[in-house]
Amino acid sequence: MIKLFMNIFIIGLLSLWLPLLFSNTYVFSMKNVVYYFHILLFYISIVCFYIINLPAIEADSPSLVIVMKIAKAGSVGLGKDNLFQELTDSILIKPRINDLLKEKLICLCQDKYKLTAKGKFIISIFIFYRKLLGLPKGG
Amino acid sequence: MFLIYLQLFIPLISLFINAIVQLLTFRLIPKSGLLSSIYLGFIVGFINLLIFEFYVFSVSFNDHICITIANLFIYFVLGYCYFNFICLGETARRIRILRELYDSKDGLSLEDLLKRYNAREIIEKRIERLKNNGQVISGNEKYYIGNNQAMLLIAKIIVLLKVVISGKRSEKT
Repeated sequence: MIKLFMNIFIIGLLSLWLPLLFSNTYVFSMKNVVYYFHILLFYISIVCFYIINLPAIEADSPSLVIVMKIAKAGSVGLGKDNLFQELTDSILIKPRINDLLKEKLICLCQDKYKLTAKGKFIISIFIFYRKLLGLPKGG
Repeated sequence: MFLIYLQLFIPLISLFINAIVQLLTFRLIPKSGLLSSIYLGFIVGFINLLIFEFYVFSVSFNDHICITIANLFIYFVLGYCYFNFICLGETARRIRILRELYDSKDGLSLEDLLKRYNAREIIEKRIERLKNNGQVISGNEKYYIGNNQAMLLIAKIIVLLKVVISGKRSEKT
């Protein structure tokens, strides 16, 4: 995710600023620098929007899957046991563990999952903010 | 010149006010609920942005309108990102898995991890949330779609986006 953010960010930034800097009409002034930073802020917000929405497209949200299954059942209804049978750990948990391994946020050392430095940093931000809000573990 | 600098920071100041109001509302008025506090924070930040845009006038009228539209866009997008940041901590499975591993200094085997956090818990929690929001109703130990069908609509839109972007309806297929 961080790699994706950096790639999109750098490519976008270059394509945004290079034409401006090398154009004949570019005049260096503080006013222009402020305007370019405004464009940068505009651009960062779009990149953040894209990055934050990507996991929702990539991974199936359990709530949405549950709603779709209940809707499919229609007037017959759907029992909780059906959901337990269909939505197992292999579907809901293991793919997310694999995502974390791929992103190098966790590692598998001697059959045990452990946080990497990157994983510790990211979860620390969430723990700090949830403590500020006084919220328990989510999920 | 100061006003031009200020124009740049208006959406960031508004976002900061949004976060502070949300935080204080949720902490000081426990009955307010997380979602309501997020809405309130967003509205207060938005009003703050409009007030700033009304008083901070550094360029021509046409340029000011364009900058205001850009600032509104930036604020809406950043506000949406803040909302998602809080929701991630509340519902994301990856964040919860990281949290469980953070709490276990020696790490966790897959079995131990699944004892602490598993599909059963996820389903129970989600069903409860969906019932509380009126998205799902229950009767005779079965679940049906409720009158509030917003989540169903979102689910259909996301499936459509998945098909357009990845060509698949879900992770499995």
